[in-house]
Amino acid sequence: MTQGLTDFGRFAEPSLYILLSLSDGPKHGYAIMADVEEISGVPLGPGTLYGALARLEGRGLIEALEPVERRRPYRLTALGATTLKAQLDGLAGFARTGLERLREAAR
Amino acid sequence: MTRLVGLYPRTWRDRYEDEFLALLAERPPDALDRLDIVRGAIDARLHPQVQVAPVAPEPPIVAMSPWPVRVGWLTLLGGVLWMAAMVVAINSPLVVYDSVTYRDFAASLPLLFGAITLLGVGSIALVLQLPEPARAARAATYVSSLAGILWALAPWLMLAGAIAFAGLAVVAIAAWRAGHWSSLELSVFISGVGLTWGALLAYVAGLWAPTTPGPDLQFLVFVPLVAAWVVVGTSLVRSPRRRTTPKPTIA
Repeated sequence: MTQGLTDFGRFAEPSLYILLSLSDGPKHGYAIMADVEEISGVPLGPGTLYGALARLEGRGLIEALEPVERRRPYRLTALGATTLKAQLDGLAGFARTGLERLREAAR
Repeated sequence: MTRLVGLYPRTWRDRYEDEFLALLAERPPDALDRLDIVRGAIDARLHPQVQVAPVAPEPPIVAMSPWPVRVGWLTLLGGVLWMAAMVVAINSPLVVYDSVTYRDFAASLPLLFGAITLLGVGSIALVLQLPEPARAARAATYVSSLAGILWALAPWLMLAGAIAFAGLAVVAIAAWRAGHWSSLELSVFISGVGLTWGALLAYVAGLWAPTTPGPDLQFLVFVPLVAAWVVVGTSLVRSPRRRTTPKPTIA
């Protein structure tokens, strides 16, 4: 599901959510947390958020912008967008295969 | 809350602490969040994503050049020449002229000239290290150097000497304000220069007179000036070792 982020360990899935959250524009930490919770239905803890942000930034998938009133927004990089697309394509294939198999089993 | 953030390593805090605290202020953490922060801190220590750059940033070209160091050593040599000039002057032959006793310090003049010239060179090297524009300091050092050479050629022109060291004091304050000199360096410089010229000024103004006047005192009073050579020289010699703290980078 999160191939390409597998070495992120327990931060792989939150990292994918963060990439997805940043896909429609830069966001700061709190906005990312709120967006991820809306997307996944699962709250993202601050420690997990920043563990994932540090890894994504270190990998060059996101970049930090100038802080605004201490809140620093993050933006998806071109590499981050490519990685996210690859992840989503993989998930789409995964979902398609699963749905086809369910349909075949129902016949 | 800062206690929890304090669990993170220093490099992580240097990079993220401010925005992390802003986030926690915006969304106060519950018990689960606190646990998550502790887990995040453990992770940051076990798998540091933020590290201090292993290679120190390149210092300014001026600081890396060997010339300031060489000029620094020359300036220190000038200090040795200054002290040697004082020793030679104090040991010069006594002359009695018109019931006044004084020392014929002509033998020390080459040493005085060399010492003052080297101090002028050191002050120019120092001012060239100051950040642009430093107009006042540059103007002061050129005036100071010219006045110093004049004083070295004619040591009886005390006004030239006073102008030379006043100009050097302007450079010293500029160096301190620019962070090239520490407060200790400035204090040593001001103490040495101030002691000599303060005593001379007080003597000229009639505020002070030596209790035991003698032909050697006129030279001893100039000994504290050696602080100028020492501080200018050592600050130039140490200049390549001045480093800025490397900023944390993402590994």
